[in-house]
Amino acid sequence: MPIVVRDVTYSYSKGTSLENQVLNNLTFKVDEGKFTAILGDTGAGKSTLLRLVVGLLKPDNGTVLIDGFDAGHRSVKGTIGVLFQNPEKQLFSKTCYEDIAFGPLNLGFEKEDVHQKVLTASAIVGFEQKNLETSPFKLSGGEKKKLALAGVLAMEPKYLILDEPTTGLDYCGKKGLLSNLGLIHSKGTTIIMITHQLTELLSLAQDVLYLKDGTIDFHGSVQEFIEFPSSNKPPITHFMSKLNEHGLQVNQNLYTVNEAFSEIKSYVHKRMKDHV
Amino acid sequence: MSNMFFSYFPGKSLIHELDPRTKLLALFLFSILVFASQTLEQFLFVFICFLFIAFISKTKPRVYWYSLKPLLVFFLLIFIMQLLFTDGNEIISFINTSITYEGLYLGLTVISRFVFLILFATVLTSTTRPSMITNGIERILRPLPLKYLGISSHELATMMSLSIRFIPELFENAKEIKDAQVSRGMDPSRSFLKSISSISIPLVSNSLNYVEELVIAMENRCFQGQERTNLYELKMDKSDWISLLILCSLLISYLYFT
Amino acid sequence: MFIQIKNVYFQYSKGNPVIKGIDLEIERGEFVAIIGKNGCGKSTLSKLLNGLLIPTSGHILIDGLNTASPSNLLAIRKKASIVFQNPITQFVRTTVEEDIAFGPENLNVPTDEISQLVNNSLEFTSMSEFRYREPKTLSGGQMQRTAIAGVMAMEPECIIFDEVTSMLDQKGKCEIFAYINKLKKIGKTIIYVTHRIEEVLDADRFVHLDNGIIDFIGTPTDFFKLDDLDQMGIEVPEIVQLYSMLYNEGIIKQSLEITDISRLEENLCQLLSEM
Repeated sequence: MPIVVRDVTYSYSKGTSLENQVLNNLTFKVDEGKFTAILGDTGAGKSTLLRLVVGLLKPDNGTVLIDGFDAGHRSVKGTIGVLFQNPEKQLFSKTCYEDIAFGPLNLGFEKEDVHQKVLTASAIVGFEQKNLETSPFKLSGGEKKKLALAGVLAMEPKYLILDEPTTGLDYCGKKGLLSNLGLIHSKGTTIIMITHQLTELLSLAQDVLYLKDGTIDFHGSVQEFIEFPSSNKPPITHFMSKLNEHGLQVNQNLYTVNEAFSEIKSYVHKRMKDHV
Repeated sequence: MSNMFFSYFPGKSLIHELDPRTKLLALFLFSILVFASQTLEQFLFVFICFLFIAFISKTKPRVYWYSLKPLLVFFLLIFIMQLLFTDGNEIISFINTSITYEGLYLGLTVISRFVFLILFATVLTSTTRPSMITNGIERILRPLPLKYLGISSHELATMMSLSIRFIPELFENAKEIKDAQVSRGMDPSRSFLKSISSISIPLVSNSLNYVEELVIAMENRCFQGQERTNLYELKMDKSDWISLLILCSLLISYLYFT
Repeated sequence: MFIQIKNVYFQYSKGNPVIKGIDLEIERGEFVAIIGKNGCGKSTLSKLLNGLLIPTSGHILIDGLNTASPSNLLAIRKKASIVFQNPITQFVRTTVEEDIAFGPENLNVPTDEISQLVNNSLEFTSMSEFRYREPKTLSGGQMQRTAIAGVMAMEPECIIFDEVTSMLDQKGKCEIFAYINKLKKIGKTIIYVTHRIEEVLDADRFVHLDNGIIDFIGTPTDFFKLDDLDQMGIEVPEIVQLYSMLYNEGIIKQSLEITDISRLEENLCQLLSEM
């Protein structure tokens, strides 16, 4: 069973002069095994939506169902793993090992199983084994993020939800994280990733859900999103449509540098031949 | 997400317009009023005063509820203590202890005292920008010879304003950590003590980072507390003096007649 | 020369140097981008520039004033001021206007002049309508604009931006760039520290920092001619990548200046359609 969000409405500070509706009648479904990117500007309601799906907030109206159960229900404990924004501020154990083991221990696994899960999870994210016994507060920002992700992965969640995990990472850190996510997804985990940079997810995500002012502006496949008229075009797509405006008949719906390069190359070659 | 506990709510009312010093003094006078009250009839009078102030401040009822809500457990505890451990005329008795009429009365008055203090404080905080409160306190403290203690009233005011700025961030971070723990399978109601210790450790570490960055940001903007100017020089208006006059005469006659 | 950095070393703890011998001079009105991956020492360098950190050896002069002398510090920080990465921890006060007033208050500016400075800064950053707002009700972009306004109110000649956009969304980033451009136009010296070079293509000079040493100083166009950018951990903007591929393949024969993405796009379109 998938994640089903039906007619969900939510507002903050109800009944005061600061009342603020952030989600308005939201309905969508995320199928198992999919990698979905949730896009939208800050304030579009992305983080609120995440908290509703995890069951930390209750919707004012409507329902959020995980595998047929209400979000936050005892039976779905452990099936959803979340990496919130600023995970580096949410580490809490004395050692990195304890921090990763926290989830599986809460779920009632045996000591040996937990040990195995900690090792597996830290291996997936590339967290150095020798650091497992140090304090999480001594790590660098990038390492802290890896640790937080390992803590979530150790629960072996069926659904993995991430809230802007690449914020603050440099190019190498970002590349490493994204390739890990690709790996986790290929093993069958359903992934929902909140981001405001579509470009970094184009090669990974299958579906895009675009939130605007608390409502869904678009929900469909990545290819459909590229063709969808919106201001939020990836740079390469934007450039290809610009070429078209200049009279070059090239395929507009491309989004990687390599695709664009071969398209332009073959177009130019064809033109040269026509000239001759 | 946002914490509504003692928050400021912008608005237009006579109370919003008053000088923060007037409101701070008024809070002080109302506290005397609350502490001088003993009987439920007197608290009824305090309640009428509060209703009047609340009415002209145009603050919504829910705002007061936000301030009271986090303290309900505390009130209940005090009430039960008074109820169980006061001697007098029995109403019902248990194996070892008995609930008395006096206990009930005392419980109600003690709680009323706390509730009214919080309600009046909420009027101040919901109608006054936090920065104006610290500004007001700084001006009230300025004549005191604080420099013999090695601090200036400016430093004290800066410290206060930073704390006011810092506390909601602490709440937010504590909530973030708790959310992360709950989402990793922890049941906060079952392991209450454990969750408190596991929240406080990262909270201290994160706060230290926060303070470090804040100090650098302040130095970057040339912070010094010895002699400085202020964006706002406070001014007491006619309405401020009139309000204080009315309040003082009310309090004096109240103390005189009770 | 406005800023002179002479053979500067710096370490937080003994035996662990973060800055390992840097020489750099920056002129008035210049726009310099300091780039490099996380942990290369670029944030440390920016804090050295206005005396928030003091070099372990070597020295830094700001308009002739040595940062190592404590009596110079206020004057130096009034000349060169930093906008930091984290919008929340640099918000000192509880409302926007009070936060902007913090600098001038410290510099003992009289009350009526402070409100003039605050008004000007609010106007410059288009934050006037938010002047009474509290930080938690602002977006990241608005908070960083407040930080810029707070620095502007001290009327510095040079503003140092230290990874100011890394915690912002796309909209917030665009907001900030608009004001940095505006600052450039009124002649401020700008030093922009970042690991995302697509943000600083219009800089006069790139300074690339690797492991505490400068290994490249030059124009952005020259920088993109380096061939090991990917290994250096540099994310090259996709349009620039496409241009380099087309250039190397010989499809485009002209060498283009890289100062601005949309201008590069325009030039590419022109060249390709003339073929």
